[in-house]
Amino acid sequence: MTTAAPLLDVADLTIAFPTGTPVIDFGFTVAEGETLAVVGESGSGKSLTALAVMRLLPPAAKIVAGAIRLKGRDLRALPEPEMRRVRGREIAMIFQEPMTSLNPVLTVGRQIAEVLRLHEGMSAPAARARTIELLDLVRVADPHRRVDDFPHRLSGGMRQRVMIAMAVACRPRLLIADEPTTALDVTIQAQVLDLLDRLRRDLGMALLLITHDLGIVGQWADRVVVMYAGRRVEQADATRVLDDPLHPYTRGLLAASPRLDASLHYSAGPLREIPGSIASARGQPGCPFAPRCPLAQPSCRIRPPPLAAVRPGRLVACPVTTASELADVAAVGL
Amino acid sequence: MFENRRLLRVLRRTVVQAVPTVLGIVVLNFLLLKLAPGDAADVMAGEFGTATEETMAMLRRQFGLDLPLLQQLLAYLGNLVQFSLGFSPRYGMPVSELIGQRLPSTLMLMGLALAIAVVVGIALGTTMAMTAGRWTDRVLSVVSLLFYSVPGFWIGLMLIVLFSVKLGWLPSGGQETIGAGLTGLDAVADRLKHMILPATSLALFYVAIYGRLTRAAVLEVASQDYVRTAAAKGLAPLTVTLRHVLRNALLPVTTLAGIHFGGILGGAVVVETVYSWPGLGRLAFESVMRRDFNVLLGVLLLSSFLVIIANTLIDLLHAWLDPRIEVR
Amino acid sequence: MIVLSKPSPYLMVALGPSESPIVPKHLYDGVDVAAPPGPPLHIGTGPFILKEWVRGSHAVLERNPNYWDKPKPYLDRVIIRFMPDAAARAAAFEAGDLDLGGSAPVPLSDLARYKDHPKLAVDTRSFAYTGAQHQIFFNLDTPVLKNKKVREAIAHSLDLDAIVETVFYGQAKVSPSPVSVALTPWYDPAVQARKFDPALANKLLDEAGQPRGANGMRFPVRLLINPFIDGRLAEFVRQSLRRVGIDATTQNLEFGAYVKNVYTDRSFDLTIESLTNVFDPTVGVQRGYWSKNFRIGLPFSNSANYSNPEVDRLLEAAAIEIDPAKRKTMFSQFQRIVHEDIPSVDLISPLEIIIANKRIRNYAPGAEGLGANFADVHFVD
Ligand SMILES: Nc1ncnc2c1ncn2[C@@H]1O[C@H](COP(=O)(O)OP(=O)(O)OP(=O)(O)O)[C@@H](O)[C@H]1O
Ligand SMILES: [Mg+2]
Repeated sequence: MTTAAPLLDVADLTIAFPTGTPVIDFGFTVAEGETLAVVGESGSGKSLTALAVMRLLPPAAKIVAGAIRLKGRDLRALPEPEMRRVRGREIAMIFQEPMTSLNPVLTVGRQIAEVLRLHEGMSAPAARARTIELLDLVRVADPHRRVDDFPHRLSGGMRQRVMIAMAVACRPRLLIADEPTTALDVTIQAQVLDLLDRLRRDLGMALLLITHDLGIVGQWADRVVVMYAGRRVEQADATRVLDDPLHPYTRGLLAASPRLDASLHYSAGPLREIPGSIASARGQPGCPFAPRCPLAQPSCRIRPPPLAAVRPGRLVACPVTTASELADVAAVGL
Repeated sequence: MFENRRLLRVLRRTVVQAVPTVLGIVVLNFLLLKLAPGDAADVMAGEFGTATEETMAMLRRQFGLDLPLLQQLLAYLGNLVQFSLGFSPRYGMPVSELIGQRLPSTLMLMGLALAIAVVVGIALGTTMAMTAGRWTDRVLSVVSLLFYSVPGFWIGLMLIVLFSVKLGWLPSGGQETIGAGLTGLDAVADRLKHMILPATSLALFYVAIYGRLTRAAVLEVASQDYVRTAAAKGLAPLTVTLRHVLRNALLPVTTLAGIHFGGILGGAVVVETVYSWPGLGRLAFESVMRRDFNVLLGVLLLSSFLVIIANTLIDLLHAWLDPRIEVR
Repeated sequence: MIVLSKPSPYLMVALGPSESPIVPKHLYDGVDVAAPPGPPLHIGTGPFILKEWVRGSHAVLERNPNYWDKPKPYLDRVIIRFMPDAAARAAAFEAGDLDLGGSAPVPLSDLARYKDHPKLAVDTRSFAYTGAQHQIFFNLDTPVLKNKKVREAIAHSLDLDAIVETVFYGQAKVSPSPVSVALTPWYDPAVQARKFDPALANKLLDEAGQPRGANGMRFPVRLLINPFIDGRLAEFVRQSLRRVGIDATTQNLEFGAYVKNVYTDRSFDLTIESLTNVFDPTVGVQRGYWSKNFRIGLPFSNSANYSNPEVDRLLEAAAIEIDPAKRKTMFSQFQRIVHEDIPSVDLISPLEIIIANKRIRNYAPGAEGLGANFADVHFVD
């Protein structure tokens, strides 16, 4: 565990639309150079959280509470022009859909060079040269030719590489990758994740990896935050979560996800899905997972269980598992 | 190299397709015009007031109106093959010369009007889209609705009353200061001064259309993922709009502008009349009134060429704007 | 030298420069003037030289230094602009871009504004050679209109003073005879308009055997109007006719179609025409009433298909009568007979309205109005 002040500190974040509150009291920290995975099924509020950090929420969404700090600086209070200097330079972001995330009428080279010219003040030729280097860095074959291609001539994986090149162009401290591989083939997924991981190490940046796939967490993340219906339900080191999930939702999620880890992939038995849907969390006074939870207690339905630290760095919001875990801890004498 | 060959191919195909189109237009127009009651001799004799039957017979013989219809058509086509548009008895000059006199200034007026319409319309539409739902958007929407619904001649007259009669800034009509003998830059400036009001009156209607269209297109493009990507790079909203949104939003506007370029020739009659501007629209209108069909056919032929040229240019422009489009 | 086979009393007037300009012999002699491109039209003997003519826009006339009547002309240059829109002309006058315009250059409804204008004057003198006249011709081939009582009833149904006031904003004179009141040497004041009397009109129509039907209408007529006349006149006539139970429908035709409808197809019952009298009844009036000028396909011929041997005789005699007094008597007789026969209802004579810069003098010195040669025109301070 890193003990130094975190690079990014999101605390008690609540995001509301006029129609609902999809993110509630959410929080996490990202340390310099680490990979934090935020895991949750579709609609749990992962993208909204990421966009809130970038301050790119859709106009109808409002941050109604919470703090977002980058190296101690409160991003929520930053004037817009300064925030623009944060975007693309200190925090970069890549998106789920490589097919639509690039402008179809501009060459990929121009779109990458644009960041360099904006933040580094490079001349056009210098930016172009650097762009070619970047394309090479993200393993795009034949970068001299590709630099002048339009996005529609590239495959999905290639486009995501271009997006990554664009994101790391200014060596940001933090890269937010919002489901960067969801739209890609499994084999390409691994390549892209490897690439992100290598760049993280080479460039010394932190990675906020957003995914709904617990399966990829073990190999590429240091720590995991599990999100359900806008709330943090569990947080732990990646290996601990996989080997010993505590929250009933995490367990269900794990049972429902194939693992990229080949040995485990086919031997883990049949995949099971969690009964019910995330929609049932709407308007719940208690634990959002209670309607789908096999272990739910009457108290779970009254108010959301608090997040409790069962061990250093390990948090879980479930009274049942907290109790048993604490019992285990006592038994083992930790 | 490859680009040039591709362009040449496009041009050749355009020409090959244009010939039968134009021929069809000529024949159809010719026959339609012959359906109109009365002929040039009727009108001319009517205007003399005191014509005799002999004069009318002479006029008909001279205009070739005494020949059977088919023979008249063949004679006209025969002229065309020799690159002649025939002769206008009304104006006492060859049609090509008559059209040639008016074409440059008309094209300039149309071009200026369309340029104003496209530039102002896009600016207006972009502003509306960027302030969508706020009061700027609302006010501009009302203004553009006004431009759209107020008739051109009224706008024209009001502009004259304001800028010529009351303020005295701009001339009230005509296409140059007659008899001033201006040369060089002065002459150009003088012509431009005479063009401002008519071009503006002509443009306002189209400003409204392009404004609405741009607003819708910009709003649609603004919700695209790549616009979010651009914002995530740290670009300022104006840069995002100009560089990433507008170019994608321009396609529908340019398509429409291309279509309008053909139609605007006809729509210009009113403005040309109000501003006493000797343009092709009025020439065509008056030729209809006078049954001066050689002139009318000449103008129609020319406008069909213009439409074809405009469409080709639009195709090329589209291919340039959007690399996904192959030149058709 | 012109040798005439018969006397031609109107010839002297016809030789005025606006009707008969002098042309150069070396360019016209032996040339088929009708064959394109024709001889040049602008080489003459007048006070100005055509410098530039942009068709549909303007013509520039420069002073002819060799003009015979020195020191005229006084103007260095005359610019003639062709401006098809009356409202635009009005604006150009007010902007000071125009100095002179004829034939009611601005909308009649705007004229009141010019009454006290500091720089512009409205001139409504009438000129002896113009003879403007609006009249309704009956198609005498239409069965119901063959009955003179019907035509008389129609004449009584029209309020000519109201036409002058409402349609022409007072800028016209009632002109009840086939010879326009503007043609002062020939108009016979004894010919007066039939009284406006709808009751009498109704009575005449009843007597003519045309009772009102179930819908209050007696019979339908097709009413046309020469498109050079303000369409509101047709609307006025239509409503007047409907008031006495004549179901008139109007059709707006442009000039070519109008001429074809009336003079070739004869598919009309009443037409509001503008048969201008020009400078002499033989030239301007005879064409409409002479039975030998009933010619299918010939514009401004005898559209009524009117035929009265006495009228024919009078017109033919007047055409070669050189004694003005005798000629006047013939035309008077002609006017009375036509007025009695009612092949037409003569309505009004619009004023020849000229708007002029108050500093211009002598723009219309003679009987031709603005059609004169401008040699005398000059500005004063
Ligand atoms: N414009 C909006 N108006 C109202 N509610 C919205 C809007 N956008 C998102 N939401 C709500 O916010 C919730 C979270 O959305 P978000 O996009 O963050 O989910 P996600 O976890 O990223 O899911 P996915 O895996 O599908 O990307 C959604 O369930 C949705 O109900
Ligand atoms: Mg998402």
